[in-house]
Amino acid sequence: MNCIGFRKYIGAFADGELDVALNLEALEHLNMCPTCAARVEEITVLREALQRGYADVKASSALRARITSALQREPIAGEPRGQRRSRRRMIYRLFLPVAVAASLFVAFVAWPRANGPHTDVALATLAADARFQHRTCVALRGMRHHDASLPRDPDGMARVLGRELGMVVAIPDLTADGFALIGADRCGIRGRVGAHALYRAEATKLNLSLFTVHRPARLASFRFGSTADEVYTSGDGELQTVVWNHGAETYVACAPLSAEALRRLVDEVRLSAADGRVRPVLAAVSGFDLAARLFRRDSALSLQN
Amino acid sequence: MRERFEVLAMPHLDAVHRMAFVLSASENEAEDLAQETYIRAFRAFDRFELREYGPRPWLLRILYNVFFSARGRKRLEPTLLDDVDFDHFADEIDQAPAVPVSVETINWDHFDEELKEAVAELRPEYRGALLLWAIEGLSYKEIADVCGCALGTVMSRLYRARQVLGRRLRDYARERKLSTERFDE
Repeated sequence: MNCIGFRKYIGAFADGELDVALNLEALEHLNMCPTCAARVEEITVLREALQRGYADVKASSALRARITSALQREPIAGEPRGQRRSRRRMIYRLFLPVAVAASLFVAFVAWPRANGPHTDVALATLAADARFQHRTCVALRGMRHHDASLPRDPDGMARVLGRELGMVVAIPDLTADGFALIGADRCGIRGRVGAHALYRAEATKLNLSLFTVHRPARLASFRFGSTADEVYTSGDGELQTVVWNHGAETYVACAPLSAEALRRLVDEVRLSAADGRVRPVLAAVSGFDLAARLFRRDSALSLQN
Repeated sequence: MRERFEVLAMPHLDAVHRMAFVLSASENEAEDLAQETYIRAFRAFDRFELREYGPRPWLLRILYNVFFSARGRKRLEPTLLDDVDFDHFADEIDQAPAVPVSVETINWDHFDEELKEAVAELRPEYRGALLLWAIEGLSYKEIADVCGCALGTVMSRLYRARQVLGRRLRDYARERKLSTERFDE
């Protein structure tokens, strides 16, 4: 693909809308063409500027109250108000015992997976976005796009990034798994700026990304099951992405590993409060929902185990 | 049903209000639009199916219809004269003159207010697509669903909106004798 051929795809590439084959062709071109890479970057910067410009446009509490009040006055669709009341009473008398039994049954069957296909689609979209961001960072900035202004030690990186982004960030030590930390920067998924830790395994030449991002809006409505960590894995044949949940947060890791290997790596890193092998350093972030959290492996505790 | 609607829909009020504000450029009108959107959504809630995109695109689509209905334009109005369909979009790009491109790019950090002014000057259809892309983070398919147009139309509107904004702000920088700073990491 040359510059003329790439021109028609610049917007779609920057927006993560190309299929895998075209995406790879585009990345190959961008690796060699700083001009086109600059144009892609301009689109990303424009999006961030627009987000910044309209960030403070929010609905007032007065508007919320007004809408709630207006909804209270709205009749339920399909029935006059009087008939609906008497019909509801009849429904409760006749069907309540059956409805209660049915809901208990449904809850038992659905537990622990509280969400169905809509969560899967939202997670799949998040995973696809993460893969795109991983590729974009590598293609446009290289794996070593460590922000030179950040300290070189993991603690220092975490401290500065956390202060700047308004969150407590921890950079996990993955050397036991063969991955060396080579940098950290401010990146995001779909334009939502967060923290990006980059790792590389020299033996296998594999690159791994761990993202801390604000929870995408499309996941805001979903409540994940809380009885067990639900791990969602997806891949496109080249990159695997793992999205997993613990408590109220969602986490994202992306690497060209097999699904099994990435999940095993993730399992090592995930919070495991029961056995004390890992300890969460990241606290809840006010004002944002996290889409990924970075943990610190407590090496002292690991040795004891 | 009312409670279920509120649980599902109210978390997206900020998004609906923000889009209403962008489309109307008026806080008062934005609030009216938002309220009308929620009332219409509630009335249609018994027919709503929680599809893969969730309630937010559904609410934004209703808002889009409310806004353009108020201006006497149907939702499925033929696309703007300079919209193109998907098949012709690539041709249009190919035929555009190759503008010499410099590695230097606009540093948008200096142009927050000017950027918003430039956005306000865009046609509502372009404004809507641009903000659905940039702020709501919708995919092309979701934007097409909200706007009731074809995928190629979305791509075309985004392309044009970005072009207009870029041109507008480069002109502004030139008029004010501001340099377009290199975008450095």
